[in-house]
Amino acid sequence: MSAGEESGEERTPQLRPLRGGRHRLSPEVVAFNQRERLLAAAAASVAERGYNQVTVARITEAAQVSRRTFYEHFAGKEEIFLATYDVVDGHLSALMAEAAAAEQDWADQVAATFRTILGFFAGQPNLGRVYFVEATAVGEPTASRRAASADRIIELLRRGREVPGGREPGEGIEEALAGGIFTLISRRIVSGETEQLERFAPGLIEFALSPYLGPDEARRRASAAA
Amino acid sequence: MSDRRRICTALQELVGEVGYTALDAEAVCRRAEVEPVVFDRHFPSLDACFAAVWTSIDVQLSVQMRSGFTVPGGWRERMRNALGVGLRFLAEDEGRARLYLAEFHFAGDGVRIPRASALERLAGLIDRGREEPTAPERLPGTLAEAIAGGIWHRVADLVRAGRAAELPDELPNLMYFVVMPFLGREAAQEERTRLP
Repeated sequence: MSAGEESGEERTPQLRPLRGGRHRLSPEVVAFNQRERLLAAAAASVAERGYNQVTVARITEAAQVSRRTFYEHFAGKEEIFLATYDVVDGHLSALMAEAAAAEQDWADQVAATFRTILGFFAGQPNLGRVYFVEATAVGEPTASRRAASADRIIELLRRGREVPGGREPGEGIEEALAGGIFTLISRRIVSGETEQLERFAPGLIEFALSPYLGPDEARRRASAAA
Repeated sequence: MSDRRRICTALQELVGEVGYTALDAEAVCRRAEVEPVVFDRHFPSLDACFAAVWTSIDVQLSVQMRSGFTVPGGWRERMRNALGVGLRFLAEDEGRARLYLAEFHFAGDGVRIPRASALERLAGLIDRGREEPTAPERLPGTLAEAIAGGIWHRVADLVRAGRAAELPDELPNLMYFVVMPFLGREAAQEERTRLP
């Protein structure tokens, strides 16, 4: 269990660094904070410059820690990026599960989940860039992670096949929907619209529900969820 | 064959065999049987070479799909034909399909913008569905873009799984996905049960 969790401190995904410098804190707490500062600095640096352009030096400068401290926590740029991705993904996954659990009806679960995703990244533009855009540049190390993230959406959507009165779409529809959703969000981020992501919720919800409920009912449910 | 063409062919072959992230310029030069100085004369970087190869594939695909979209008939027939042409093109060469659909992620910003344009082009064809008389009046502005992205991801997934040869068989499912929001369930279901 990490120092943050032991203290009951909620680990939010903002990854905002605490101040650098000397602290009257236990080594464990200092190490925890250093790691958090590094993760936050990695997210900010990658969002600003792109994964390929970021260096360890840039991250340590932003985090106000030494290179030695960096390498006490991470083997290199790729490892810190993956750790950053995992923190974001873990938190997002928890938020999505919580949002879906609060709804009984499948379509409402889909709507709540998508609103949660869009709202989360609208409030965290750096993390949106890391998660949706720069992760694809890392290659194989993030491929399985991104596939796992997509699988959560695919699993949720697939339950739409059990909706009474619904029509069963063909093979691969959930994968196509997840791909379309990912494309939409990442392109909005690239075009600088991250903070307006929530505006796209109704269209995204309608897009996801349409193959199962039909376009008219999907539109009605998406509007009701707004 | 010119040096430039040999280099591009070598890169395309190698990406298909081992993936872009496993490559360096030296490997491409060895396959192309050219000296590094010759590579440098044509391309400032490996990413630039990749971008040139990717763009060449994109142009071929674009020409074929646009031509496929001009067949007689309504939007649905034209969309079906254009998508069918595109899927057959990609199915012809799995390595080429993999480079175009999946490997571009690793080749830097030089490909991101042309790829975004390719997606917009596909979305443009799809968006013509709004003009159908029976299309709903109010459709999300981002619908065609989402459908285009979904098609890209689905086709890329099949290619990554080694199923490029099956791409033409995917046409009914993709047409279901395209047609449903614009023309409704019945029309979408008709597409799904058509023989490719």
